[in-house]
Amino acid sequence: MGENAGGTTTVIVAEDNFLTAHLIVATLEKAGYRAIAGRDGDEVSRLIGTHRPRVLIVNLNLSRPSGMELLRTLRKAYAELRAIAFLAPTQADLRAQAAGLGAESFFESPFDPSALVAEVERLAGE
Amino acid sequence: MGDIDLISSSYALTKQGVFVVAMAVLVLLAFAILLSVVVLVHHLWSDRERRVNRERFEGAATFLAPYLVTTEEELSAAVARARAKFGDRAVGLVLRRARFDLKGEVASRITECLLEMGAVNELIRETKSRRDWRRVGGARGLGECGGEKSRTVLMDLAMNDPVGDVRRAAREGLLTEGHAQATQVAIDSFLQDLPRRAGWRRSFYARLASVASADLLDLIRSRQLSSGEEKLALEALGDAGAAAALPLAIAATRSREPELRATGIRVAGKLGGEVEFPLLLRSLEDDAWFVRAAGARAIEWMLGSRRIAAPDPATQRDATTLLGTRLDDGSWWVRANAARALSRAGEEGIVVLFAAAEGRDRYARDAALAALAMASLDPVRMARLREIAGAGGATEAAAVRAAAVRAREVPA
Repeated sequence: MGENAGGTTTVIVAEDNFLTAHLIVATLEKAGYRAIAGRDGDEVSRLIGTHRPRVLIVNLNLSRPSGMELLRTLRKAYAELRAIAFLAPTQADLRAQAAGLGAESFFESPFDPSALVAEVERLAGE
Repeated sequence: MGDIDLISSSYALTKQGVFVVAMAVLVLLAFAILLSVVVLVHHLWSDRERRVNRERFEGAATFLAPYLVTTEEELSAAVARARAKFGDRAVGLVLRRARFDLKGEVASRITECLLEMGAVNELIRETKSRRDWRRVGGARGLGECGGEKSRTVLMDLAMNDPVGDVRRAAREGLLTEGHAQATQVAIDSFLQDLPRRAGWRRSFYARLASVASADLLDLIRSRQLSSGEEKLALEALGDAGAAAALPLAIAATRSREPELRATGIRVAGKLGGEVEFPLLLRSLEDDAWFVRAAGARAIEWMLGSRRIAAPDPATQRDATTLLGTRLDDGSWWVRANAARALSRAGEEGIVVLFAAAEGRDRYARDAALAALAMASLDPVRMARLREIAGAGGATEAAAVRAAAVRAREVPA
């Protein structure tokens, strides 16, 4: 799961902010990953069904469905999916809830691209 | 003869009146049509402008993103190409937003580019405008740009601008980087003119807690804040997960002021560990209902989303018993929070909730059913819950029961 024919690990990015999604995708592509962004829950679910990625990066503040709901659904459907969550710095409560749903790592805006790559490497490699 | 003259003259006057009214209607109609055309053209034009601006922004973002996230690529040359293709406005906006999204060396490079292309100078010019809204926009933009030049202007605006909105925008801008001097100026400016709206004050504390929680802690310890402000600041530290604020939260739980006790309990629930469990349990017996409600909610956070168990089986049993007694509390909030906390308290909690759901106290029944509706139950208990929810006919709790059953009918 998560690797295409060329051996590249696929990462799906659930982010509705156009620029942030492009920055995350560009960060991962520079590091050699195949990253695809989806803007809403339906698109992300479809992408995950098609590409079966190893890692999901989800913005918990995503709307319709909420990032939390998306995380809950996807982690239930794909137990082996590793999840990284993006959230606002003041959302400690949301962080705890997301951890309960299986998010393994958390990033706040602004983020350091090299730290994100290191975290994806860790989750994809385990 | 005189009568005929009078009649014909009245007739002429009436005819003239009709003519005047008809002309007035025509003029008004023409004016309305003209106005509609103007509004329509303006709408189409502004719609087109928005679309073009969005396309340029998206084009610039797509083009620049690979250059923005790494230090290995030449950013200045890429920015120059993007400016020629998408225009200064779109590129400036992309750079500012990206500067806001990224940190580390890549962010410093973006600030340099914004300086090079003159975007910072243009925003500084805006902060010198006589129009307040322009100065607010300038201050917000400079906050996104970062860097020393922007900071110097923002520090001056935060302390000296005559308009509160501008000072507030400057303060927020100063808190984006966590720079020590900028943070101190933002705090000084904030204390100098405490914003009227609680939402603005909360927003300031939240930003400060996220970039410089130690400074916010120092501010609370300095006793410069009133009791009301101390509560807001403490809540912000709890939301930001600033563990160093836990001793302050524990101290607040011993306050004689019930509102401060409730705040302390909430924050202890967000930051504390199993050691704080007994403290939360004691709050369930507080005289003030909102402290009891805060205690039950904090226990729910601990047991639920934070996955922190009671330190030993005896404390766990005490928690279940105490929460069970709170199911018939006089306050709806306490009942609801206690029921939700019980739904997170494992097997013993579920047993207590089922007993309450089948009991005679209708308040406890409602709270227990609502919590069970959201709990994770095995099929046998699920069937029992449906049975209980469906029984009893139309009572005050019918809506709650129906909601409980509906919630369970939706596949999780």
